[in-house]
Amino acid sequence: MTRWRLRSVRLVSGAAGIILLSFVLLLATRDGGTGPQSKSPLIGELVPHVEGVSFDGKSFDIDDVTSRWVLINFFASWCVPCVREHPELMEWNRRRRVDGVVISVPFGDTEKDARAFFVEHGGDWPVLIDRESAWAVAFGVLRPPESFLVAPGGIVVAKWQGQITADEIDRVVTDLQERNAVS
Amino acid sequence: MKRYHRISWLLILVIVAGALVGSVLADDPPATEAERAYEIKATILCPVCDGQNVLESNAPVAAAIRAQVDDLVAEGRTDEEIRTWMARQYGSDVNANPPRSGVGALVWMLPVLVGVVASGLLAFAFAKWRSGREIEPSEEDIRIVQALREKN
Repeated sequence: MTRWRLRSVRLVSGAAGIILLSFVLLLATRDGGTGPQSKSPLIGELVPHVEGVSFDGKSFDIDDVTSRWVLINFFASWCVPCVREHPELMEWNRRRRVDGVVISVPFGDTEKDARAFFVEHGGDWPVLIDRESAWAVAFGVLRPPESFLVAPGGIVVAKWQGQITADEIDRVVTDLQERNAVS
Repeated sequence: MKRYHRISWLLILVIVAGALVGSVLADDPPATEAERAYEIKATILCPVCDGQNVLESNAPVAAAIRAQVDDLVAEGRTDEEIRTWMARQYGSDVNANPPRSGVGALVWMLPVLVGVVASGLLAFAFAKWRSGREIEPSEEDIRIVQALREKN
C-alpha cells in the first residue's frame, strides 16, 4: 500500500470515527425524562383549564380553587401503582383539607371502572372525566399514575411520573412555601 | 459506441426524472378532514411504544393523541400546528418525520450529500479510466515490447 493510500485510509477512518463518536455522545447526553419528580414543559406555566361535573354530581372549575394547592392525579383502575398510591392521596387530602385539593382524572380507563375504583378505595375529592382526552394531552400524560402540583395562583410547580407519597408532595409544598417566605 | 452511451445516459435521466415527477403527482393532498387526521396520526409516534405510530398502538396515550388530533383537525388547526403542539407536549421524537432543522436535518441532508459525493467520485473514476485508455504507447515502449517478443 502506498504512503498516499495509507494516509487516505487513516483520514477516512478518523473522520468516520469522529462522526460515530459524536452520535454516541449526542445520544448519551440526551435527557431521559424519567424519575420520581420529572421534567415537563408545563412547569412554570399556567395550569390548563380543567372543569367538569364530578362523580358526586357537583360542578368543578379549577379557576375556583386558585387560592389553594391543587394536586391533579391521572390514574386508572387497572394500574397497580395507582392502587398503591391511593391511600397516600387520601392522606395528603386529609392533611391539606384547608389549603389543598386533589383532583382525579381517569386515564385509559372507563368511567364505570373508575367509579368502581372510588367506591372500593374511597376518596371524596372531585373525579372528572376527560372526554376528548384534551387534558391528558395538555398535561402530556404518558402512563398512569402521573400527578401535577399546582401552586396557589395557578402555576404548575411539579410533576411526578409513577407512584407518589403524601410526604413527597408535602416536601415540595414546604420547599416552595419556605422559598416564597425568604423572597 | 459513444452514441449508444449518450442514449443510455439520456434514457436513465428520463426514467429518473419521470419517477420523481410521478411520485410528486401521486402524493395527492388529503381530500377530507378524516383523511387529513389519518395522515397526521400515521406520522405521530406513540411516545411510550417502540416505533409504533398512534394509529397502530393500543396504549392509552395513543388513544388520547388520536382523539386530540381528531378534535384539532375539526377545529381547523393546520398540520404544522398540530405537530408542533404534540412535539411540545411529548417531545420532538413523536414526529415520525424528522425535523428540517438542527441535528435531525442530517437525516434529510446526508443522503443528498452522500449521493452528490458518490456521483462526483464516480465521475472522477470514469474520467481517470478513460484518460488511462487514451494513453498512446511511446516509441520506446513499442521497442521494449518488440524486443521482449523476439526474445521469447
